[in-house]
Amino acid sequence: MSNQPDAHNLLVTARQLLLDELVPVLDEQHRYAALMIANAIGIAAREIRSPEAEKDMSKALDAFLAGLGADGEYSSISAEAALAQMIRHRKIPTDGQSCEALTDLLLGLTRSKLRISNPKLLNAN
Amino acid sequence: MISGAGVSMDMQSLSWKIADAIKEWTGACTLNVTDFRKLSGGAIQNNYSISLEMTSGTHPGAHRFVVRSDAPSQIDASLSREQEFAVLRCACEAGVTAPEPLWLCTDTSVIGHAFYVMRCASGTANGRQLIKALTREQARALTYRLGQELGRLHRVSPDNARLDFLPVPSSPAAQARIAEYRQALDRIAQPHPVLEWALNWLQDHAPAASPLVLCHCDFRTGNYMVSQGELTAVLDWEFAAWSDPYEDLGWLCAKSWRFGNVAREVGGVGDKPDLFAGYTSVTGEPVDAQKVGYWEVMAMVRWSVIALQQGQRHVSGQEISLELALTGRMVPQMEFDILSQCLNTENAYVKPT
Repeated sequence: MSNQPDAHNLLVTARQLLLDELVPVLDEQHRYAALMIANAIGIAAREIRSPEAEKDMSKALDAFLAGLGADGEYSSISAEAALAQMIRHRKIPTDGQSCEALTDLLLGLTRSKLRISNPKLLNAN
Repeated sequence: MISGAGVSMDMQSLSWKIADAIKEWTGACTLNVTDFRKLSGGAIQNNYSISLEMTSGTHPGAHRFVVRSDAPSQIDASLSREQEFAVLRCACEAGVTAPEPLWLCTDTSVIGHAFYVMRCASGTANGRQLIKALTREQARALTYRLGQELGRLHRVSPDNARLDFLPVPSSPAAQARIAEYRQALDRIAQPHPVLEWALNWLQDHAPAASPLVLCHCDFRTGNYMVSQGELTAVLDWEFAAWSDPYEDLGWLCAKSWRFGNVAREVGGVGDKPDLFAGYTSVTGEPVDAQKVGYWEVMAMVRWSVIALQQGQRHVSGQEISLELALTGRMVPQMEFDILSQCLNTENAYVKPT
């Protein structure tokens, strides 16, 4: 489907209207609710856009697991679930290089989630 | 409507029942309820404010009390009202500025649940408002005072017979928490590799355990009342437990509870040297800043687990709430803070072998 304006555009426009015209005239209690709504719309708008960076992170995760020879072992669950299980069961080598590769991957995964849920925090760090 | 144990009643009947009980406890000749309202609170308990005027008896004159009763959805980890009443009493006796607990009713036929009455503290507990309103001098004095309050609470030890209902952890508090949070993650559908990594980190870096003391376990900005810069009451005692005293210090200082004022490490209000000085002034023990840092990571993991559980409550349909939904989406923020703090700590000292 190629509806225009698309879902992302509609959400961004609706959020801006809420912030520009409704939030300033609401009392404190309702302003809090409206800001939560604006936040939720913002997250949803960024999520449906699915930027290339998310795909890159998914590739990085698959490559990390493949590097450990674990890509086939966990075929029935998601790559992220496989990573969580391997960490829990301490199946990742503990030499300096592997530790650094793991924390780099985890930071990358977290940053890619923050790009959707709270990009302001990323910009501040 | 409040309901439970076959009793169902509206707000007016509820106020009358509570007033009758207070009249009996105080031996008042006459009692007139001037105001009764439900206060905002969690799913764990219902809080009401009751204002009344009494003649003669033990409490003649005008009073405002808070009534806490169990709510329909009890959480496993939280205390019953009867247990909370006993904890509050011990905390007050230890010199902690907590609302004085006055009367307990365990007879569920009165209002349908156990309830207790305590004094009402003045001021606000709203973290954002508090941080904006405090002068620098007030903030420093409050931070020192928070240290003193925790120091007084931590003088209560597991040999206190009146708190024998609180379970004593069989392993060091840090190891018990790590096991608890792993079990909690197992009950959440989505994988969380960062939290798994953080739990391993906590296991590998656990400092020597301190002797168990009575911990509040939710001692943070937002859970204490302040009026004109002065602490008036430490609230919300339902998670109190025997634990490592550093758990409370870490929870208070964790980055998650600074209400936007990140530079002020003690709950967005003040600086650690003032908190530690206040604590040491009571306990006589110096505070180990590195150990506080370790328990800050534990605190952020705990808050992440709670946030995931709150998000799940919304997703499951148990309680549809945008606030719960958005709390669930806050987890990457906490995970980022956890990773940053752990990696900074790694750089600051050599990993134990």
